[in-house]
Formats: sequence, structure tokens, C-alpha cells
Amino acid sequence: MKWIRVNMANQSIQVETVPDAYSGLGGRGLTAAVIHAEVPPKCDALGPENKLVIAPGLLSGTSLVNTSRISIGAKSPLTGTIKESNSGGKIAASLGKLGITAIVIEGQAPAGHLYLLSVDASGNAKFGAADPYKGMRTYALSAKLLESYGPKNTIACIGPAGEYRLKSASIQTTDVDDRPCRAAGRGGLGAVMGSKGLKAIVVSTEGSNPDVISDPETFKEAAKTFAQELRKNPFTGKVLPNFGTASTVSAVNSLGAFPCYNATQGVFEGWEKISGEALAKMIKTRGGKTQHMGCAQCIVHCSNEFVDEQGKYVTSSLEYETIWSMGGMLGIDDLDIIARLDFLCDDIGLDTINTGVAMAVAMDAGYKSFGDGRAAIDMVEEVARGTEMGRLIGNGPDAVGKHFNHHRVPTVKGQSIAAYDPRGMQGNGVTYATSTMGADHTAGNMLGYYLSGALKPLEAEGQVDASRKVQIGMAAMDCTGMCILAGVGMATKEASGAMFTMLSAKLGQAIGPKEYAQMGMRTLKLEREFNQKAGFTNKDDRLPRFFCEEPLPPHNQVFVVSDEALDQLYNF
Amino acid sequence: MSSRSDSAPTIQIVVKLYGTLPRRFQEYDPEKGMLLEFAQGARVADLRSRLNLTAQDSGVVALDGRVAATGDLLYDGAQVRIFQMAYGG
Repeated sequence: MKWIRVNMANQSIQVETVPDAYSGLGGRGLTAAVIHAEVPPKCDALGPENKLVIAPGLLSGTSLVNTSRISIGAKSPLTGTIKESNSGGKIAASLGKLGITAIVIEGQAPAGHLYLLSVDASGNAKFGAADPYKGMRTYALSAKLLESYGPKNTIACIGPAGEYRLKSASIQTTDVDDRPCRAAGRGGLGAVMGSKGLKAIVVSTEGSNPDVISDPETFKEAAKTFAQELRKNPFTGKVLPNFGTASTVSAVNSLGAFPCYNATQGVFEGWEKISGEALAKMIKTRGGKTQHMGCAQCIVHCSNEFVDEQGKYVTSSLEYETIWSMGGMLGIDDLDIIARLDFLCDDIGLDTINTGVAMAVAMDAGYKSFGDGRAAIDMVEEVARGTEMGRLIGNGPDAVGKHFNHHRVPTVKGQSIAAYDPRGMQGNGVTYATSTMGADHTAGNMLGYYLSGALKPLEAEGQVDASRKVQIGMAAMDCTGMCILAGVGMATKEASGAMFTMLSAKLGQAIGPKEYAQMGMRTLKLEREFNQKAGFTNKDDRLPRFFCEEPLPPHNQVFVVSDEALDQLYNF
Repeated sequence: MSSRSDSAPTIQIVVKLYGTLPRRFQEYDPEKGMLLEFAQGARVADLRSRLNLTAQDSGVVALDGRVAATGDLLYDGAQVRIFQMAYGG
């Protein structure tokens, strides 16, 4: 195992053997451990003491399908907490195939200068000047870099939002079609990359020196079993390929938990116009693509390629969370406008969730009207121009709420909630409140519990225990590089058994359910400890008051999980 | 599309289908859904059986915004949505 450590202050590069203390760690587990050990918890997230850690999962770069998630970690300028944001595309598999366990980026480049870092097919890293790319948006930048470095490369980069160091800035990664439309969106890690003076990382896709697998034959067989289970699973084998993550629009609206008009309603009256079914029909009619492969080694193909009425590419992939943040939250039921907003966010380098919610707060405060798609597009364009309003939007819902002195700001620790209202899905509220990284649905989404009938969504009972279980499971999965959607396949005994077999075969040590859960718990504990040292306490693990005071139609429920119950989340 | 059962008195429900489920019913109209009639006392299990929903369909039945168990009673005028299992994304 080796990693690349770079210091932006003098553009030095060290290739080192990963210390034993980090042995057996990957993805989020590794980013958490490095940040916990090396970043002062009270440091300025946009200062030289912060570090940006880019780590493929333990299984990225192996033959296992759907393991192309890259974990990017740092102290977040948005939340002030530790943060891991992960993205798909090709970079995780590419780093894995190069045998690179992580890239650790330290220090800051001299003021006013931008650099790019490239890693070639032999794993050699090199800095290049990126001053000519200053201000460039991600689509133009990626095309330019692939022209310079050749098509057998993949890219992680920032757009203008990252250069402005805005708190909703994302790091975009290129997909299998070389478009920078995959995002490590959450937590403002694009601003951290911008603060380092790093515009882009270019990584060869031609690596052929992955870490050794202790028992390759056993691994190969288990990988086959896992893939078969994914194909058999109705969600990963049928629903996602046909409708993508947008299939969730019908489920969450049917439950009355789709927060819209800045979380004042739980059912969006125009939801059938922006549902997965409507999206798939529109894309097919226009000659776009559903069942699109967005990430390396993916067999689920939940991605899509949205095209306009003339059949011209608009964006990829239009996902559930964006359909919500740019649709329901803004009162917009026009998929063309939503797709345009999605493209703009990818191009400017912005988290679609935080940005949509920031605009929803602005609309709720009376700055613009709900449903005004043109106004939403203008607001996002303002971010790229760096206007005063653009910087407010780009800094997220808290900045907007403060500016307009507006009380209804659906964030926890500065990060916006996602497309599940905590009043309609109480367990998601528990996750938002207690996650180590602000309101984050991927940290522990409870939707499956409610749809399967395992838990009642509107009651307090059982929510904390279930959220704890899911948060631990997700933290473990985020160590492997496995996609959250493919991870659903682990529900069967055969698939979870195959996963444990593969981890054991990769690491050369027995990994069963207990060890897997320990991986998740260890990660969460490191993250929690970092946050505590940064000054966070249980009192920060709370939802905004309006969730407890303003009932959400149609069920007219408020968030009812007590503070005392929330404080039990980390009892493990 | 409508369907009539033998017993009386009866209830009527409107069922809307999502995901790949509408493909199984040639006459299904996504705007209107399906009007189905059941004997009073019919349960969600009867609805699942009428539509031949299997585990592989992963159909989740929601009655007026609440996920229903197979033993839950159907009632006249209920708005029923059947979508496929999802886990978020």
C-alpha cells in the first residue's frame, strides 16, 4: 500500500508506504483516520492546516462491480465538522488500479496561483501550472485537460465556486463518458480544494498495479456471486435501470415526506411531472439515454443522459435529490429547468442539494417567487459571476437565512437536509441531527425501513436504534468503495456473505458481520471525536426548531424524537 | 380499467401504479389509474392477489399516504398508490 502526499506550499511530492496504523483502512475509514490524526480540529477549514484526503475504497480497483466510489475527506468549511463526501465516476477505480491508497493534499499554494496534479500510468505524480485555467468551468476544463493529457485519464476538479471558496462548492469527477457530472457535493470540499490552490487532479485510467489480493480465486468467485445477487434484486436489477434514483419521487410523495416549498408541504402537487416515470418517458421520447452507465464497473446503470427537445445533451445524471432540491423545494415542476439547473451546478462546481435549498430559503423569504425557474437559473449563474447574491447562494442556506433574517432554514450544522422531511420520516431526522457531518441522507437513510413496514415513519419509537444501525452500516460501506445503491443488494444472505468473503480475501484476515460493523463503528467514533475536539456537543445534534413546531401536511406531524433519545445515538 | 367482484356490499378504490408495474396491465391509464371494486371487508392482501403482485415485483401499497400491511382493511374511496421498493439515492 502506498500513498501520495503533496504539499501545495512548495509543490513537493512524496510517495510513501502507508503506515501500519492505517493498514486495512480505505475510503471513509481512511479519510477519517488521517484527518483525526493530522488535522487540528479547531483549524480554519480554508487554511493551510486543513488536509484534503482522497481515498478509493478498500475494494475499488478490484474486479468487483460497483466499487467506484471515491471518498474525499477534510474538515468542512460548511459544517465545521469532519467531512467525507463521496463521488462516482472513474477516479476511484483508476487509483485502485494504480495501487494508490490515497492522495493527501497539504498546505496552500502561493496566493493567486493555481496548480494541477497528474498521476500517470506508472503512478508517478507531477504538478503542472493551472493559472491558464483560472475561472474555468468544469465541462470546459475537463475537455481541455483530456485534450492535453489524452483520453485515457480521468479528472477531479473544481469550478468557479471552489475557486471562490464558497461553502457549497463541490469537487466534480468525470464519468465514463468523460463528463464532469459526478460530484462529491456535500460539505464544501470544493472550497477546501480551492483554498489549496489545486484546480484539478488528472489520473491515468491505465494503471495495472493494484494492491495484492490475499486470496484472488476466492475473491473472484465471491465477486461473481455478488454481481448475480445485484442482477436478481428487484431494486438494482429492475427499478434503478429503468427509472434511476428518480424512482424514489413516487415513493416519498406517496408517504407525504417530500419536503417542498422550503419544507412547508410534504406532497408536491406537481410531483407526477417530475417523477422517475415522467423523466424516463421524456428522455426516451427525445432520444436521450436511460439505463446509462455513469461509473466504472457499474452493472446497475441507474444513470441517465437528459437531452432537450432537439435531442441535444443537457446533463447527466438527473438524480432524485436534485429533482427534489431544484424541483419540489423551489416549486418547479418543469424537468427542463431542473435539468438545466443540474448542469449549471455541475459546471460551476456546486452541491445541487445545498444550492437548491439555499434558493428555496431565498424564495421563502420573499426574494423571488416559488416556481420561478428563470429566477433560479439566474441565481445559480450569479454564483459563477461572483456577485454578492451569488456568493450568498453559494455559501448555502444558512448564509441566505442570515441575510434575509428568515427563520425557516432546513439545515443541521450548516448543511441542508436532503429529500426526506424529518417530520414525515422521523428516522431520517435522527440521522440528520446526529450524523457526524451535518444533515446527510447518505449517512443513514431510513426509507427502506418505512417502505418495508419495519418501522412507522411518523412515530418516535425505534427511530434512534434503527438510525444507529444504518449509520454504522453506511460508515462501513463507505470504507469499501461500494455504491450506496448497489449496497442495497447486501440485504440478502448470499450477497452479504460474498461481501465478507471478498473483504477477507482482500485483506487476508477474517471479516464477518461483527468485524464489518466494527469498521463502521471505528469510523464513526473517529469522526465524532474529531468533532468533539472541534467544540461540538450533543446540543449541536438537533434539528432546527421549526421542524418541532411547524406541522408538515398532509400528516400534520412535527418531529417528535426527544433530545434525550437523540443523545443515545452514539451509545455503542 | 375496472373490475367487479361477486360479493355485495362493495367498496371502490382507485389504484395508481408506478415503476414497472403499469406495464403489466395493457389498458392501464397513468392519468386515471384503475378503478377496482372489492367486497366490503377486503384487505390489502386481496388487492395484491387481484393484481398478482409477487415478491419479485417489490410492490409497496400506500393507502392515503401510509404504507399498508397485507392485513389492513381497504375502504371505500381510498386513494391507493403502489410503487416499487426504493432505498433513496
